[in-house]
Amino acid sequence: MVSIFYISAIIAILASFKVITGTTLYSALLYLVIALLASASIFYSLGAYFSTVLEVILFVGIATILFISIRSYLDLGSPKFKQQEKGNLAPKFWLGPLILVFVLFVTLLYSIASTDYSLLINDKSSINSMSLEAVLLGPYILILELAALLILGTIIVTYHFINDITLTKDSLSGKPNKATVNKPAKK
Amino acid sequence: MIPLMHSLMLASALFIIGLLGVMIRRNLLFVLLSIMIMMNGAIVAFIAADHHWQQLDGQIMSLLAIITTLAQACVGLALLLQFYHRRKTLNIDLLSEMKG
Repeated sequence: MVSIFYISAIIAILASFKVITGTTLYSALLYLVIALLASASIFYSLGAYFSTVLEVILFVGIATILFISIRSYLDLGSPKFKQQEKGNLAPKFWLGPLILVFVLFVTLLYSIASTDYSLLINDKSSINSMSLEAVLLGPYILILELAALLILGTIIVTYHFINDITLTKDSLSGKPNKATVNKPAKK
Repeated sequence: MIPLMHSLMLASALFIIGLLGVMIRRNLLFVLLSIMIMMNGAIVAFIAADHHWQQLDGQIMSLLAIITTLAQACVGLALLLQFYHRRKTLNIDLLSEMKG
């Protein structure tokens, strides 16, 4: 567990540094995914399994997909987009992320191999008396409701921000409408 | 048992890297990515405290922090779409119309 923590910490710091010094968004997003996966394995080595699952599902699964979709929405009209996609397959683009992710993979294999499975069969101590679900649905239920209200507020705010864009611009074809192409954007 | 000091050093290193990214990058997308790294460092600090005192409060606060980060990413990306729609650029220095 200790070695998993330190290896993942080094990977997280290296990948985070590559995120802020990245030149293209796609490479920065690749490194961001690696940094988030490395911090997920840090949480695993610290014993916070629920947060590991949340980090992988919410951060890696939702947030990075959101960034990729926004970026491709911005790029859709430009003819450079297809050329850029070809450039993304060059080895200098994926070699660095591949090395970092391979080290993470080796630590994952090590943690799977070093688990003592005979303890898991009759283990009652993993379901301890103060489990997370009992606390979360008991005294901390207001935190859950606060999170739900936060998501609701986010949906409403986001809808109002991008409402007029989706009304005036044909978002799928990427071509601006005739109504908006002649007059410059207001303000 | 990992000492609390090492976890907190990792958390502050991640936070400082994110802060550096916010300060040196002028592309709005990269600023949002750097804010995500900063929040990731804060969540690592929560989990480290959770591990050190063997309490569950840190995990619950990390749940709230993860959802807050997602919410700010959503609102930030919506603002970015508005900004790109009006200015056709992503440079946030162009936003300082008041020269403040």
